[in-house]
Amino acid sequence: MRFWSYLLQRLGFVVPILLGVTIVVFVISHVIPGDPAHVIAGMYANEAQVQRLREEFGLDRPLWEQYWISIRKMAFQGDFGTSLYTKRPVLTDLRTYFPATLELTTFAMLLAVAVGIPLGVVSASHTNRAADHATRFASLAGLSMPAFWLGLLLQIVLGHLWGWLPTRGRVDSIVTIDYPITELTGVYLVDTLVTGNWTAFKDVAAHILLPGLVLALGPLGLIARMTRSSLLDVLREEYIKTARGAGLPERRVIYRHALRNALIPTVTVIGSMYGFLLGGSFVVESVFDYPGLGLWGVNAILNLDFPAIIGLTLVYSLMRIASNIAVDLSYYFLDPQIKLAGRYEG
Amino acid sequence: MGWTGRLLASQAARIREYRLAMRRFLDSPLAVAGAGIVALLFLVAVLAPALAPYPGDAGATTHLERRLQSPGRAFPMGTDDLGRDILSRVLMGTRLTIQIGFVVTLLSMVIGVPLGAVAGFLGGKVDELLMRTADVFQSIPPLILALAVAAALRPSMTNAMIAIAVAWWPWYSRVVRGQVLALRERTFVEAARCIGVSRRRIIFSHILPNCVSTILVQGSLQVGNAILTAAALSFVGVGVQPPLPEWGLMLSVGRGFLPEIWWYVTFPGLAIFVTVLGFNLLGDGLRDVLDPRLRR
Repeated sequence: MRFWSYLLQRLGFVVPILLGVTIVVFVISHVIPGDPAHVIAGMYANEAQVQRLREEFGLDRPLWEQYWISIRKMAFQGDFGTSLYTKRPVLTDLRTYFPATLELTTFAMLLAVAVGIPLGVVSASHTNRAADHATRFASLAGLSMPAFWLGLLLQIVLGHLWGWLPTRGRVDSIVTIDYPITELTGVYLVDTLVTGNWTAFKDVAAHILLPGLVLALGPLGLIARMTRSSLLDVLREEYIKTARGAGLPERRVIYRHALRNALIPTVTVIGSMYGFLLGGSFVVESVFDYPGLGLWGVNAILNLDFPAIIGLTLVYSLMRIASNIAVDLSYYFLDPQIKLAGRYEG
Repeated sequence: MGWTGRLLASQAARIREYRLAMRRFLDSPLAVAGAGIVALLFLVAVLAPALAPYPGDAGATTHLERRLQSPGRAFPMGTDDLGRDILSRVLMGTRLTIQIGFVVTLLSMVIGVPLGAVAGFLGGKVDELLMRTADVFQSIPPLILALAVAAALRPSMTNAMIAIAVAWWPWYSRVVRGQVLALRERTFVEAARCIGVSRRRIIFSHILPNCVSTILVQGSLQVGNAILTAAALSFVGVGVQPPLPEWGLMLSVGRGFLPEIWWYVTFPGLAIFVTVLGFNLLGDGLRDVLDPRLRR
């Protein structure tokens, strides 16, 4: 089947790309003026202590040797090394924090799609009228909004001033004392829903609302713009004129006939948006003290914790590559006429 | 028609095209608003020392006697934790922000455009190598790559700008490569090759000038993004360092005084928002005018 061979071909490119990513990060982390051993040892360590740490973490060996050792460990033992900062295995940390970020970014993505697509449709069906200008302005404004600023403002107004929503963390620790969350997937919204833990579910939902909204804004703008422009393209096609000529109501023409075809470019944008969301999660998680990969990653970066940074970059790149592949495969279902070929970049 | 006549006719056509583009740009209220905001920003950047009530507050001065005062007549945007006038710092910060936006964009172009042109023109192994490298860079989310590079190089304004450019060059390479692939087959390139023009000259004096509008569109859309990313780097702590009046950095420090001292984060953030919005509106308008394929 062409579908499966295409999928295999795409998957075949994942490993070289990830290898490339490790090389890039490794080079970045080792040609730097900073010395990680000094950072781990802290300000008050003497030279001998720093030297001991350097030997302990293998930082005194030549660059290619360090690279070879760490790659071998990653590939054959699943050992991503020990975080210089948390002193825990990187893989353990990644596993702990990954579900939170997955939950936050997926929530944001769903929000962006659910609002962005209808907004784009409204804009396209009112071209160059007030509603269109307003939507286009709003979507550009969403793209131009510094997420950390909006996050802080929402915290002041909705959190502190009106007290509507919690502004920090993922779940209230007092709630989890009475209603402990059974961790099945680590995605709290799913876990609480499956176990019927409504009190905790409501609390988790309240916590994710603000960071999710802030994170969704940029992608929302892009999705709305893309939907608008591709819908306008489709609406110029002959078969739409035919449908209109046959006297179908405009609503039906747009939603039943045009939108399906117009969504193909939008899906591409949605896939590429994952990179945007993953990057955004760094800033948003640190504004909202949301205990995910982003917050952990900011600390890793500030502390020049390179084993952690390499693990983190790999996970993020993998998520990005996976979403790109998913997008290309989704073409297959949206429009079987599209050739699944010629695109093999991650 | 002799050659002078043809020349004049082509000039006239060019002028007509230019007028048409101008008209299209001016017809879009959003594009005009963007151009207005950007023009105003440049004006503020140039006149900042004259406009700022306390231009000296852009540096490390301290006036502890007037620290954390709420917005009022003397200090329209309030004062910060060291007693510096926030309005003055925001105005003086315009210079830094515009500088960052343009330097980052130019730097990414300087890296990305030649690589893309060479890849597209030479094809084969060179193309393969360059584009797979671009794949690797693009598979890391840009903000994360920029954060890692900025932290590794040691936090400073210059290093932050380098870091963002390192994360963004593949976008230029890709766009330019696509254009070059299309242009390579055109007759005028064929002609140049036939009369023995060197490859380097074909790329740089025949092909690249034809990619200018594409590069310009991509660049104008990136300025706002560069400013936003730089502000995020400063906010996290790996970008511009104190005491420079950079807006992201002001937000980062002001965050510690929330929720009571709301003005410390509100105004610098507003400045970032308006600036990025201005550049994005302008870039969007330019794209509609310069890139006929994307015109709606």
